Amino acid sequence: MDLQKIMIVDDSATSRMIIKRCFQMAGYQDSTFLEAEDGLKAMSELNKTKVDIVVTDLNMPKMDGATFIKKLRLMDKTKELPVLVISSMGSDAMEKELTNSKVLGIIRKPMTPEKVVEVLGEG
Amino acid sequence: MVEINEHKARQALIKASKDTLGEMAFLDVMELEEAADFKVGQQLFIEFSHPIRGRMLLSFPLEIKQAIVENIHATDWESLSFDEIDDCLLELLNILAGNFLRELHEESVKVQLSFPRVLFSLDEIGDIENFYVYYFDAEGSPFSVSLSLKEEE
Repeated sequence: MDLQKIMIVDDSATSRMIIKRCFQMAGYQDSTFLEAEDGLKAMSELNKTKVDIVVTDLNMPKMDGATFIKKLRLMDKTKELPVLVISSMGSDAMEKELTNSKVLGIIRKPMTPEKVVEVLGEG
Repeated sequence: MVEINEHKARQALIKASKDTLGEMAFLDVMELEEAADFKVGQQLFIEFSHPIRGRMLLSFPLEIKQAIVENIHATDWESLSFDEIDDCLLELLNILAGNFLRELHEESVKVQLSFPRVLFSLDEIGDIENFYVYYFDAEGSPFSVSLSLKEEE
């Protein structure tokens, strides 16, 4: 996939760092990475900036990942925006619900470059 | 309340510990058959409510704390802030608990975890008598994971 701007949404700075590193190791080393620590901050940033994909955790304070994705789908600007979920909390039911929200996939933590390539292909 | 199969819990914890510390922190982890003595340098705690209710306490010596953080950040210990160190360790426990629960039940199960936290004293988590303590070795240094489990009511 051609991903020039990637937004990473996760309350853990460590997790954001690992996700960014995995994308870079998967071939997306030329991409620009934006970071937000919860859904609210991500929504605010997305109002100002256009990105090619959002990579989000589910378990976050203030606005969790599922609510964040639902809100994205309600906005004209982001209703078709590709979303990839990265979480330690996934389930079949959640996966089905998220697939209905046009989510590209769910990657279970710990994140690895191989898992990025599996879902998105090499950068 | 239904009793959890202790053998299954042990196997799930061994697999989750090896996978999580191996993939995140590049540390080789082995189970220890006997209790090991070590000076606790850090204790982290998380609770879960689905598919079972329980608590997990991760205890390790300073050298493992340092190895985990340095390996994950790929940088020297001295260059990291306290917040970065805590965040790194808490994320590790979060993932370890999620992996353990999926190993214990099934890959597709829904997992509900609390936000993990750093402990300054065991008094913060109340009764610890019901914990099973499992010992591991990470490249020559022992650490433990303590579990208290019960089926979701």
